[in-house]
Amino acid sequence: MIVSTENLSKEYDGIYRVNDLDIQINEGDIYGFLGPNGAGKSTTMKMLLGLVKPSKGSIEIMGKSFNEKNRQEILKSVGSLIESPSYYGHLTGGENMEIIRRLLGLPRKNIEEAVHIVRMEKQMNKKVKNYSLGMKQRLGIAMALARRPKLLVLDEPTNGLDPAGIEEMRELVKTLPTKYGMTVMISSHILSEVDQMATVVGIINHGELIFQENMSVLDAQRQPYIILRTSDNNLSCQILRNMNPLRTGDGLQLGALSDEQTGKAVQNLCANDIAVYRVEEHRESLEDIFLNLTGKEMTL
Amino acid sequence: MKYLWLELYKLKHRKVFLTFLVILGVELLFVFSNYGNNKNFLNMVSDPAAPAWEDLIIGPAAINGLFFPILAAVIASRICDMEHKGNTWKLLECNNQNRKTIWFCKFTIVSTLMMLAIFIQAFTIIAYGNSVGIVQTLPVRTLLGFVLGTAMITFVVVTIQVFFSLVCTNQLVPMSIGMVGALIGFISTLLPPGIRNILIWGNYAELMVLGQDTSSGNLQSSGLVVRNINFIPLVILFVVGLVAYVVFRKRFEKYEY
Repeated sequence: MIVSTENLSKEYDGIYRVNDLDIQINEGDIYGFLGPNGAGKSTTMKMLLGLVKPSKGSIEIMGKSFNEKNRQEILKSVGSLIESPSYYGHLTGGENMEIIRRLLGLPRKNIEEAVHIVRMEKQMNKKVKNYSLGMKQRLGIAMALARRPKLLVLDEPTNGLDPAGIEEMRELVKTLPTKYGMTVMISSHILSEVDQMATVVGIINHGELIFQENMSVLDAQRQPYIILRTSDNNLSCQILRNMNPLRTGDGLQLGALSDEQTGKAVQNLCANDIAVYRVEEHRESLEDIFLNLTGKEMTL
Repeated sequence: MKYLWLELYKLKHRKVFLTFLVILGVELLFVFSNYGNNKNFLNMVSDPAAPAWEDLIIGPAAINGLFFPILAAVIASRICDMEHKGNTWKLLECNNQNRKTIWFCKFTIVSTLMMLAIFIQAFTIIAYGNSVGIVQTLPVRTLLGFVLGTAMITFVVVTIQVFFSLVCTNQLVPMSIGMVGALIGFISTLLPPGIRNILIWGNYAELMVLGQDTSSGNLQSSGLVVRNINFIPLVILFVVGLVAYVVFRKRFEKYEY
């Protein structure tokens, strides 16, 4: 287990912004940490990095109890990018990386490798204040990667990025566990983003962890269903009543059917002179599951 | 030491030293450009009994109350502002640096520059006095008293400036504090001793080693008298400054950005 928390809580002004969180992250996971704005994602991540002191509960990182005494030691193996990227705008990208190198006492080849991973080699002589937001994010990730961390904590790293930047970031994160043996914890309020890269998902709402499972468990909950549009939807419902159809606005919805069952249903309708206009397979989206889990309170 | 060098590295392209030299240069120019036209001073130069050196010392002593709060505010702000602008607090803390070392490095750099300013002033006094040929023996104790007294007051001023520059994202706040300090420092010679001692920046007026005899609340004569620096309020201020240093550092260590 790379990260394990027990009853992790943070209280501000008498209100628990994070309440009794039991997070479990295994080695090699890409842990998607989801939740609406203000759910407590950033506070949780800050507690994991020792930037915010928990009101109660405990944290274990890489098998060691995380406290003030061994914080610096543990953080040598933890890279992070919290909220907006941090940088010295008056310095060049290379000078910013040099600060990290000196802070951590790293060899130069670590810096070169980190810069190469985020493909920023050509931007190192440019002052960071002249970077685009995407470039600043990539520089932030390079800073986090420079120490070759075992755990990478990324808080909303795609904030403010254009679609190409988001895609690039996603591909980068996906390669980190396989190529570099890292475990990644990534927070986001954009569900589709996490859907495409996470192997494990944790959902936080109002400071409480309401779901934490492998993506496969979540996938299993997303049962596919068939939508049919025909020339006579009411009659179709009667003909296919043994499949428990559900009448929808302009068609009928059937449950999860195999290819043979779908073929038989269409054949049956055609045999009764009903024209089948459309056969579509739908799958419950992550958004749908979220809305169910969060009592449809989530702002997406 | 590693963190201190790193702090200096971060100051690349910030032109901190240039800013320091410009402000100090303006002050020294402002102070020493007047002595050449001052007949009283020129008369004292060739008189071994006249307090010509003391007259030179009160030049920077009188004007430090105006310039030093501004100088400390500008330097502290330039050194701390880069952390606010780049949101680098979390970056530093996640990369092996704790609040204690951040405070130490920033404070050390601002203090060192301010100490350098005091030494440059002392050196300029000696160099200028020698260049015009003052025949009076250099009053080393008085000059050292001026250096020590200025350093003690400046320590407190730097503590205040560094703290507010570190905790205030909007640098107008520490700059305004510096401006208010400069105003107090500038008018402090007009304030009664008790009042100016309470106002931190007003203590620069205690370093006026030459003045007129105003004992018993009235002007006793038009002649100049040499005064010893009253170190009691300065020591009290310095002790309060030491307490403030510890309190402010602890506040900064717990401050959440």
